Amino acid sequence: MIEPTTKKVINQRRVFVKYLPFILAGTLSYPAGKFIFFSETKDQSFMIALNKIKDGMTEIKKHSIYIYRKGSKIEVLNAHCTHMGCIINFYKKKDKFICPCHHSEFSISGKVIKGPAKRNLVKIPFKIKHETLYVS
Amino acid sequence: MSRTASLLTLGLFFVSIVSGLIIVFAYHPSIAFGSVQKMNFLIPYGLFFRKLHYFSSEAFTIFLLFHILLELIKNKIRISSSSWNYSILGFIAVIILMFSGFVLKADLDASGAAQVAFSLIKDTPVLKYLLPLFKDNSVFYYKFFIWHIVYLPLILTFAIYKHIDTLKVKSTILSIAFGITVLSMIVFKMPLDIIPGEKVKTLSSPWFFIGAEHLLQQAWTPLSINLFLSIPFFLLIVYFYTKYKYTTKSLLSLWILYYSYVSIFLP
Repeated sequence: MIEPTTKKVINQRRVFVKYLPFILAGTLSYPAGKFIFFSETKDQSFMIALNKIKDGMTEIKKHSIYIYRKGSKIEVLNAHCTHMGCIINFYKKKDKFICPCHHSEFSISGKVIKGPAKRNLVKIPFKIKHETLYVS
Repeated sequence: MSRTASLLTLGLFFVSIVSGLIIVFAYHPSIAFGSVQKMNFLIPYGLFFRKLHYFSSEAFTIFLLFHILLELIKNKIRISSSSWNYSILGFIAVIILMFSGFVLKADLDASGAAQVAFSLIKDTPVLKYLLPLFKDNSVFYYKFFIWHIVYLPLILTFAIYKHIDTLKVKSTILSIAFGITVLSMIVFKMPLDIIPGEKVKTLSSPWFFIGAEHLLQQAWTPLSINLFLSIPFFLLIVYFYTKYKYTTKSLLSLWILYYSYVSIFLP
């Protein structure tokens, strides 16, 4: 016959085994969450020789940016629409950017002309060194 | 009629799964557009299987919507609450599956739709924390791919099993489902793929998402769009439990009418 103390220990073990998967799941949820939600940041910086940038608008498709040059004046604009992030198109004849997703319009300097976008295009900081444009 | 619709829905699901299992061998998320074009023009029967997957999935969704509509019209719920809830989970999985499938073709329309989806998630409170589940900064289409070929089909299969207690389909039904798909392939045209980087005036999105795109154009906020899009799922859950079934159905009909109007008539 099993003694009451032994029976109690067996019962405790059973309870422990019953809840073990939940304890394990709880313990693993933090590292699993960290693993799944890990997001790598991609280095988007690049450089381009100044003599490759002609006067007017140049699109660098690989990096989704537009470079506007007028003599020594240079501006670098993010090609993502500030409304929903679609890549905007530049229309030389109209001298403006138009988003193909929801038709927001931006001026050559990136200012909103027509919504639904409410914010101007993001200007990207850059440096010029040794006749080369460094975009960060 | 509803039973036939539900059986055909299951048959089309199998055609979609099998064709998907075949085309996955040629798809690489790191060279997504290239692999889709290779499938279209180089791999023997590549376009056939791609079309088979496309049309069976579209037909599956349409038959599913038809099945839901018929069940609601009938006014008689014949399943348990858990079965009902699983079927709504399956319905949500279908919508996300269709969206991720659209994105995986990796053309200009697809990348636009993916960007819009990212923004809808990123600019909505709470939901924004889920963005890393969908966005991969190294390979753009990778996480859509994982969702489309692993998680969502598993969720959907599980939901279907819980909904009807079996996954068996009669060979007659399978043959009819295959016939419907092939007939759609002959009668309808699959949308053309637009080369990424090409300049187009307007990007298109999946047909069930056009209304949401039009609302975004009307300057609706991402939060309001997400809330609006969750209304039918919410009403379907409520429908089972409430005694005000007529009111719930009327609200759902109003939503469908408004969304159809927005999809078709708004610019």
